Amino acid sequence: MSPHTSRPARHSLWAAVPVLAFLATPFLPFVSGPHLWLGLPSVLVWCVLWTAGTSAALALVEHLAHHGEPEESATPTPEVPR
Amino acid sequence: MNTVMVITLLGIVSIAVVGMTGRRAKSKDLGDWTVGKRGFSSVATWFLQAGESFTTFSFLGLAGLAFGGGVAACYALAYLAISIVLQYLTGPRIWRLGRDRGYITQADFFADRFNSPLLGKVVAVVGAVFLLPYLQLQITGLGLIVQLATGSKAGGTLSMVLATGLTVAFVLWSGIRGLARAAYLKDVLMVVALLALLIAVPLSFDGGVGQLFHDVQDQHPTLLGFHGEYDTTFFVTATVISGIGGGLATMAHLWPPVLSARSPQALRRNYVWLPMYQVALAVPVLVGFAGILLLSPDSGSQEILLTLAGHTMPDWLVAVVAVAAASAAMVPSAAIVMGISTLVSRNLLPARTERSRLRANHVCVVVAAALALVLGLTRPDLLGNLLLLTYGGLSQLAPATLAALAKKNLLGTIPALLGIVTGVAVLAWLTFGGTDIGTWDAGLIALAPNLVVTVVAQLVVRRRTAGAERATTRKEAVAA
Repeated sequence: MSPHTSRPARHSLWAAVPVLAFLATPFLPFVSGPHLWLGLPSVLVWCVLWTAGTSAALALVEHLAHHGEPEESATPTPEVPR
Repeated sequence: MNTVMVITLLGIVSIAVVGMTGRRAKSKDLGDWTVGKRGFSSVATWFLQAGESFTTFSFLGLAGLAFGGGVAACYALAYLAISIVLQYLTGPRIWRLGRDRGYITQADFFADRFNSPLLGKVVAVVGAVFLLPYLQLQITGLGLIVQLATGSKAGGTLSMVLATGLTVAFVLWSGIRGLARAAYLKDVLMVVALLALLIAVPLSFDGGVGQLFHDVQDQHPTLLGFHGEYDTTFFVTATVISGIGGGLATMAHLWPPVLSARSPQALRRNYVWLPMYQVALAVPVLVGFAGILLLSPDSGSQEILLTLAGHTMPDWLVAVVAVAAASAAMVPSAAIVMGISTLVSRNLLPARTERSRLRANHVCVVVAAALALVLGLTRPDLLGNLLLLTYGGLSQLAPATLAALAKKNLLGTIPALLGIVTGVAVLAWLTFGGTDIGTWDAGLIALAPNLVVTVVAQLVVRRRTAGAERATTRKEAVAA
């Protein structure tokens, strides 16, 4: 196991940002309600933005975590107890 | 036979033919058939994983949810993104364990990490039993899709039989490589169908999308917020439990796409960009809103998308949407039937040789698909109750999965087993016992007693182990 997976690194916290944004959706009065943003329901726009934001957050985590990491590859594997 | 029916049936056959072209050489063992020597590129892994985001639910359920619940349907976008975040954190770890220890099923992971073949078998039984109604859901969903697109009930039944038979054929012939190949075609069809819907449905509305939502705002303002049975509690609890279930790979058919990847880097690259693909799920939500204004309030929730497609598109384009929707049933069906068959043949049935195990697996594919098809045709409600338990029930594996992903497994077999059994039992009681839980997700509530029992049992086991170790030390000291 590589060192970055052995303990949660601080940069991984960026991945929590979209999660919190999604879960906060119904509690934000400027989002939840009969509002239209750009002619679309505010909740729909908010969720689409944060879906894209999830990619951005994971790209940031990936950029901070794995710079220069060598590529791993699959090797022959032993049997497991069944 | 009308144009839509002809194109739809040809489309179903084409998906299977493309799946069959995925075969390279005859698989000699179950590992090759299931995870393809763990050599899949980012592209192949992408399509396998993206395939899990778009099922019959995307075409039938999501538009229907927006039709009845408004913006609450956005929970699908939320939970899928959250599950990708969790997969980004756990997927590479699962891949490394799979490579180092030779996993090809979810139950392998449990058997190995808990050093308990018994727990592996329990997980295999739970996984296979709960996945069967999910398989049936895809097959009956496909029948409904064709029925709605063609207006022919007999056509729907025929397509269910044809699609199931062809799915079994390409899965047996090509294994996971066929699944990946069919997923390529599926995703192309999905993009075409969603773009067509995105253009055609608003065009049919006087004033376009902008006017559509202004009218919704005027006539149905509650649908732009969280209300009634689709309130804040529904949104949060359904998002959390579905995100956990998907993110911690509690469904057995989610494992082969991860285990078959060439490297953890390939997986992570995909996880970064998969949410961008899931943005496309906003289209069925938009179509559901259009249905609020264009269709009768009495319309069946599952009929919204294809009914609107029929009202706004030429026949040939409706057929393309129907083929895309059919592919969104066939590809997940193929993955699910593989998930069930590998659990049974690898973790439950004895086999002397790898060749006989592969043969047993192939029999399981046929039996599982036939069972789901026959029950879907003759007793569609029989597995319906079990389906209510599928998502929440399998999510009860989440605490044990998370604990076992740690460098050293944090849980013993007994606490893990007690937690899973408690969670599933509480879920069954909440689902069938008539208990009023409001709009809470029963699976999330059941996770609480699951966690309490798991933690308490673990503390008891640790205390007993520590006591036994102290007694042994004392005996050795006295003997010395």
